[in-house]
Amino acid sequence: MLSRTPRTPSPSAGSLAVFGLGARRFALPAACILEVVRVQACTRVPCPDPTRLGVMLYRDSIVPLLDLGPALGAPPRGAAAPGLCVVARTAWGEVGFPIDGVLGIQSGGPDGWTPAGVFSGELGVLCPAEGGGRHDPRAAA
Amino acid sequence: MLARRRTARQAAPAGAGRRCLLFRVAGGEYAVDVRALRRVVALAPGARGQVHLGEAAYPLLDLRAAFGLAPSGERGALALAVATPEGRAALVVDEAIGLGTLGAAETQPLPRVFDGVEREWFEGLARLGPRLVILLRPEGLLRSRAATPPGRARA
Repeated sequence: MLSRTPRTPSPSAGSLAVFGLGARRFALPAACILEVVRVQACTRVPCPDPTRLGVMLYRDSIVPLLDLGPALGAPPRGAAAPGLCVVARTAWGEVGFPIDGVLGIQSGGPDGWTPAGVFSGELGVLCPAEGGGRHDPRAAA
Repeated sequence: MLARRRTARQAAPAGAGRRCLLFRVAGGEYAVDVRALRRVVALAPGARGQVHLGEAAYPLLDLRAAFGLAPSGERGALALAVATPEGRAALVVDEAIGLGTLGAAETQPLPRVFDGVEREWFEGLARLGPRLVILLRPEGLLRSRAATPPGRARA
């Protein structure tokens, strides 16, 4: 389980935590990561945007769950309840991002990474600048 | 009828929490302030159009359809007749759970990532023990959605 002091993310922050989502990778500044948790229950909030999956209870707070799949070029997650999720402090407050696994920590800053999608940069989410961010989930398992 | 008619003058004192009717739609739990609620109406099978309470007509508004949720396959058994400054509607729901009081401390606005029309539909979220309840904003819902075209239903 990862745990860090809450902080607003900055792309120039030191280390990046790299996560796998389907066949894609994304990264968050490690300093903004609060925890990786298993989602016990997700309350769906009706919303035309399918990336807004709903909300969950996280340490006495109500935290939204956001599907990064479409921003990374992956298909939307759908209505299925997420399993693992990384909770991060973002410019929009605490947000949970469903993930399939933690791939590691990369030191040396955000070189080689770029804001993922239109909204994700605001949230501090990065994807590989080249190569589409694909990875082999079997290799990470 | 699960709730008596109330007016704004009969609102609970500040800090005492909000009296709400809790109900279920497509597995999710929702709450509506009883001050907007006029009556809970059992719908006849196949009810369409509107329900009439006294002189007033309440167009049926199926919340599953309004929220883009999967249809139940059959018309919900209940409608919540609500009146707001934006108009009246009979909100078709799956099930009424009962009355509850939602304290201010357990209630919070929608998180900022919800930045679309859902901010019109919902006031926020409330904790009810281990459960999360979505607080309906009936006037915003009526503002953003047109109710089902008029016809007449037997209440």
